[in-house]
Amino acid sequence: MSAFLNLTPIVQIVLENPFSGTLYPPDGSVVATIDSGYEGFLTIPMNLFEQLRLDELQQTSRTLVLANGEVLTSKGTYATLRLPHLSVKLDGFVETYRGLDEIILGVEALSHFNAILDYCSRRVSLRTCP
Amino acid sequence: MLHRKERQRVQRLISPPTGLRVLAILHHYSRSTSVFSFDASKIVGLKRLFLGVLRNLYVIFTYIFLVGAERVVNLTVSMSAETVEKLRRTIRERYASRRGALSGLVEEAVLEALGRLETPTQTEKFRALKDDSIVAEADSLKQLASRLKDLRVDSRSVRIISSVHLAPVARAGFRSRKA
Repeated sequence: MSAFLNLTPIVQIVLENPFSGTLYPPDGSVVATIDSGYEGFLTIPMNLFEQLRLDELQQTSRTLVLANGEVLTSKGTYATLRLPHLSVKLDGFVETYRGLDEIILGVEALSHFNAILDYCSRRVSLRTCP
Repeated sequence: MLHRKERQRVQRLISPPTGLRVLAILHHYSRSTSVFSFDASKIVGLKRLFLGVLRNLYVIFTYIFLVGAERVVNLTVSMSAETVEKLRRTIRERYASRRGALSGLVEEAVLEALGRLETPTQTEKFRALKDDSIVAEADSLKQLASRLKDLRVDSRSVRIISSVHLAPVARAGFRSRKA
């Protein structure tokens, strides 16, 4: 399901580490915030990264530039993102860094969808590309 | 001889030598008695010009109708009653049910959809690297995990990369902040 939460677009997702067969959450789904300013695929909190056992895989580091111009180093690897309400599975680079407390879905993940943020009717629509 | 005012009028009419203006001149002289006092060579010149324009117009129209004109064919498609009703309502509201508006709108939508579909999509491949050499390659991570399992390679001993380049620097967005 995708919707607005206090005018912030959110989507329900499930994360999977296909190499260990780990799912997060094990049952149901978790909320990810859509951030069109984030150029990556998915950023998740460090504890979640560890729960998915993604930290056991070899990591790639890169630099993330914050909105205020500050920079930080993230680490990450490839994992699978599922959108249960659309029956969609996407593979992409999932990264993390210290201090992050929410799941952020970036434009790299959004590039697979026809996304409509309808603030008039408070509706978020995600449809897969034809 | 033509009166000075008449001459000026003829010059004004002649200046851009279009078929319409030449017709207007001839129409004017066919109704005027002064045409008989007009220099014969000028009448012949006008006649040639008129015939030349007619010949050019004939060539242009033949080109438009036989070569340049877009061929229009009828196509029968099925859509849900709801979509058709929406389409008709839009045509009524935006184009006042103008003739050809429905076909125009449908053709525009089809061309837009075709353009979108014809845009090449990048196919991503995932690779498992060990000491910079490729151990396995697949179209999805699930497939790659299964190949590594078949090869009895521990996924923790390889580096997973994608054929789509990962930018070394990226914008973190508005929600990210330092700890």
